[in-house]
Amino acid sequence: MMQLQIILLSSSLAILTGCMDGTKSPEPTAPVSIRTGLTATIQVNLHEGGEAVDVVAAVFDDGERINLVGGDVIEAVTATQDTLLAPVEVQNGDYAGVLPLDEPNDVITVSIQHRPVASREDRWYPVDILMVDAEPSEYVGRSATVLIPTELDLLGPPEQAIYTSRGDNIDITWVPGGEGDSMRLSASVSCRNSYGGLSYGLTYDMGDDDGHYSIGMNKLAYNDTLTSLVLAFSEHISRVLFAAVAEALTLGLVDADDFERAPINIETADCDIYLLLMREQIGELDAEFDGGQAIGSTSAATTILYRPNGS
Amino acid sequence: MRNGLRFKSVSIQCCGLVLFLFTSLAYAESLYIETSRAYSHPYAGRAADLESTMTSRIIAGVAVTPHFAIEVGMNEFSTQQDRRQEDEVSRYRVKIRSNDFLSGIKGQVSLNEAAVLYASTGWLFWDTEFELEEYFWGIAPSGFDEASDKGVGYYVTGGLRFYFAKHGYIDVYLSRHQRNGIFADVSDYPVTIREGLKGIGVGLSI
Repeated sequence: MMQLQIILLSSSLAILTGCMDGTKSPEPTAPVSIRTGLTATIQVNLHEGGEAVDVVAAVFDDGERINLVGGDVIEAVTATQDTLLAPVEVQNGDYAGVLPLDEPNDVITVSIQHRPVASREDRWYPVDILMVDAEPSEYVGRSATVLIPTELDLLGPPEQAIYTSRGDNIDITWVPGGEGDSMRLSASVSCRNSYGGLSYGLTYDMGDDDGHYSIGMNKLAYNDTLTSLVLAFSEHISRVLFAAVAEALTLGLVDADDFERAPINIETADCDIYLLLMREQIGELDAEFDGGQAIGSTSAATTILYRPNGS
Repeated sequence: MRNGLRFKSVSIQCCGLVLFLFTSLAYAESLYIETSRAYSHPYAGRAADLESTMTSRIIAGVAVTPHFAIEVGMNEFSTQQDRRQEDEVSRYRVKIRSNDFLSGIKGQVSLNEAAVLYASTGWLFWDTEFELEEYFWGIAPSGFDEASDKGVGYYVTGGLRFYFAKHGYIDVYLSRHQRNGIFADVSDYPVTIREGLKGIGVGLSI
């Protein structure tokens, strides 16, 4: 479950960093760099059936991730709950946390704060007595607010639906939401045959929240033409997102050699495809930021099976 | 505050014990003084990862009966985290120093003319200092901080004396030193440090 949450959040954060082209063409999203000024990518997601939102955030200064040290932290709060985001790795610049949500329409504020004691709470010694308190950085006080869109009700395809041909179309249907929301599809694909396996991730803009989207199996299951797209996604993840998320998405960073060496016969490999559908709503970054995006989202998932040799 | 009161209360009892020790000299079966070095394995929780270290201890006592003695002593302890640790806030290392005063009782029994088996226990009055070094990868200035606290714990020792002369002996022992609730009066995150010691020393009894 945790891995799934990470997958969905990472996919969204990948998009947030600049992949929202608004088209309905089933092309994987391309990375866009954030290079000027102080920018942020923040996503708050409520997965189906969940009572807490996952929050991920990264802040960039002229394109470089900012590492918050000395007690500066990213905090996510509602009127009644709060949590500190933890870095996925030390000095990695990507932060994640879980915030309980009492009401689905709670306003969620994500901000940079100076919390010298709370940020050290996991240490073993008396952190409130013994501390070298670095001053708050210039980033403290920057914030963003998001709202969670309406719950996503995924109607199809059903769990464990089987597709046997790369020419099959997968019809994804859901209950349409409100005006202004956009949809995103991410896929974690794991293929295997008797000689080995290969896993990778993909993400697609789905455009409007109109309740239907069709995508060909050949856009998800591994083949030669897909390789460059998967690599683009992988590269994007490795550059923009945290390593742990990339690992979750790709089960290890995928590179060109992996594809060349992969003992997969593309005509016979079975693939399990975890599809994650997200409804996204743009939030607000405060004026101190020069760019970036804050997004609130809801998500739902299903797993389909590609079985070219039958079930 | 509670810890401070307990410290005072036990200090009074300890002073009484020392006074009793000196008044006992008139009735003493024997006096002894011993010094030792011990291999100390300190523990303050798995996350602390404290280095094992060598400590020094000196104890003097009065045997008021052939099987019972009163003793006082001093112990010096110093350690640090085995390596610098790091999290999102900083890279850091904590060093610990403690000067302890021991006051307790000892029971002993002769195994033969050359060997005496004993066990002792008592209060351990700790005066412990923590020093923190934090480094922020050059993003913010690094620095040091330190704080100290006093309190009362306990010690338990079991050992053997081997007499190599009429008044001289070698002392080997296992011991445990416990310092509970360090900074408990002033912090929401108090620490307990316990030591397991394996010691060897020499002693003189008259």
